Formats: sequence, C-alpha cells, structure tokens
Amino acid sequence: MNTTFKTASTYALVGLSALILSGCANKAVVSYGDAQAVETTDINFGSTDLQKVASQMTDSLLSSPVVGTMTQNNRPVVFVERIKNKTSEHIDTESITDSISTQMLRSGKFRFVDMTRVEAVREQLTFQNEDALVNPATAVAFGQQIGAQYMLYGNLSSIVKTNADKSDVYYKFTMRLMDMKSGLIEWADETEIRKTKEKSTFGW
Amino acid sequence: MKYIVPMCAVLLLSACATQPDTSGIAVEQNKGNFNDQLRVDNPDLGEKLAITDVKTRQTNQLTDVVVTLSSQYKKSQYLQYQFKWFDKDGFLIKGNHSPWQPLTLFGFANTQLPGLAPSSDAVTFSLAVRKVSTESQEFKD
Repeated sequence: MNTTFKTASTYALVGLSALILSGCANKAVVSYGDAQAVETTDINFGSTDLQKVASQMTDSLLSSPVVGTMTQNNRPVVFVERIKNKTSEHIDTESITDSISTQMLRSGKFRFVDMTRVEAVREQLTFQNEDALVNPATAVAFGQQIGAQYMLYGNLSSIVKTNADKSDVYYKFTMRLMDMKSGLIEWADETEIRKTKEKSTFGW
Repeated sequence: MKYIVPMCAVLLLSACATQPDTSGIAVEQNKGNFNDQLRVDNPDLGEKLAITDVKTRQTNQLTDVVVTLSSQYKKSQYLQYQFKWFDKDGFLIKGNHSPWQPLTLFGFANTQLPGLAPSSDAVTFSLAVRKVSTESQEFKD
C-alpha cells in the first residue's frame, strides 16, 4: 500500500515538474525592445557597437578645436567616402557612415553631398533638361551643384582570439577628415571596443 | 516528501521568472536654475555606485558635459549609461540619437562619462546609469 502511494507521488511530482517546465518553456512572447539598449547576444559586431562608434566619432569631431574654427562662420561641405571593413565579419559599414553623417547634419555644422545617389541625380537632371514633358523654365540646370571641400573616410579592423573557454574580439575604428584642396588631414580619431565571451560556470 | 513538491515548484518558477531590474541611478539638470539633481531608483546599485561630480562647459557652441562615476564596490560592475538632451523649454531634443553605452567599471575605480550636446539647442541633460542585465553576466556579480 505504502509502495503504491510512493510510486503515485513520484509520478505526480514528475508530472507537476513537466507541467511547470512546459509552461515556462513553450510560451512564445513577442515584445518590443529598446533599440538603443545595450545588446549582448553574442560577440559579433552588433547594434551597440555601431551606435557607440557613431556616437563617439561624432562627439569627437564636433568637439575638436580644428572643426570649431572650420565651422565658425560657414558650414563646410563634406562627402563620405567609405569605411573599409578589414574585419573577418560581414559588417554593413554604410550603416555606420549613415549614422555619423546624420548626426553631423543634425548638429547644424556641416553639409553633405551624397555620392551614392549621383547616378539617380544625373538621370533626373537629364530627364528634366532633355525630355519634352518638362517645362524648360522649371528644369534644374546642369553644373550648379556644390563641390565637397572635405572627405570623410575610415577603417574598421579587428583582432579575434579564441581558446577552449574564452573568445575575445577587439575592434578598432579609425576615422579621418581630409581637406580636398590641400590633401591635409584636418581631423582624425579612433575608438576601440573589446568584447569577451566566457563560458559561464553556473547556468541552467 | 510533502515539502518537495512546493520546493520544486518554487525553484522552477524562480528560474523561469527572470525579469531584469532595469532601474538605476540618474543625475538630472533642472530647467532654469541648472541645479544637478541626483536620483537613486535602485538602492542596491546606489550603494555600489556614486556620482561624485558634474562639470559642464561650452565647446564649439555645444554643451559639453563630464560626469564622474565612482565605484563603491570591490568587484567589476557591468553597466550601461545614457545621456538625454533637452532644449531651453525642457523638451527632449527630437531625433536625439544618444544610445545606451556599455561601461565596465572596475572595483573602486573612478571614470568620467563624457557627453556632448547633439546641437546648440540642447542646453540641459539627464544621465541614467543601470546594470547590463544578461543571464551570463548576472552570475559575475
């Protein structure tokens, strides 16, 4: 009688545990997260790294004394060349330069020309000037655009090291602003990121 | 025997319910009188961290801020911080892109958190500091 009771209790316990566990594990919850919160899903280049790099570079550029002199009485015209991705990962570096140029524009101190849309602009201007559909009085004439005075470019490189228990990645992001006329580099800065992943001693 | 079932249930339930504590400590500048106001929403973190100094100046017509954060705790703390910027009327600067930034503060170390206003309209700020809550880092504390 006693043995039967014990067996029944064991089954009940196992059943209850399974019920509780399944209740926790199988609940799919969709929620909106904070796009600007620190994200530590894995060791690869992530949104936090992108935001950190963009924010630090913009702050450094805007607070530099040379840039202060440069932007005192006018808003220099800049074009973004590109950030060379020298890491082993696929990283959308255009996304980094987009963030940096947006923040620089928003500061009201710089103006930009967009080299990625030159073909689209040429196509539209050709249409306006050569197609009979457009009133010639309203067509935007060729040869009126402003040339960029400065070029913004940079490099992103990484060093990755891994052993059985630990992975370590180091990113270095360098950025430079070149005067197109003289070829001089007016501003440069770099920022570093280190990310480490260790196997957790405890854990479920 | 009769205690095992409730104990198991409590243990399993507590393991499942891991909602991270997202409160922290903050320093705010009041509109008008520019007094710094310290706010501690997380007493546990408030014991381990202190904001010891706030300095502001103008750099290239932009408000430049440095907040000194001191650790009152012997182990490393994995934190994140965010500056928010407000205009002269106390409105949050629109499209303000100041993300939470990761910060590792070593035992009893001091660090300066730099913040630069995104535009010349931004005159006052608030800084919030909280823990980075991930499962792997919870155990490092």
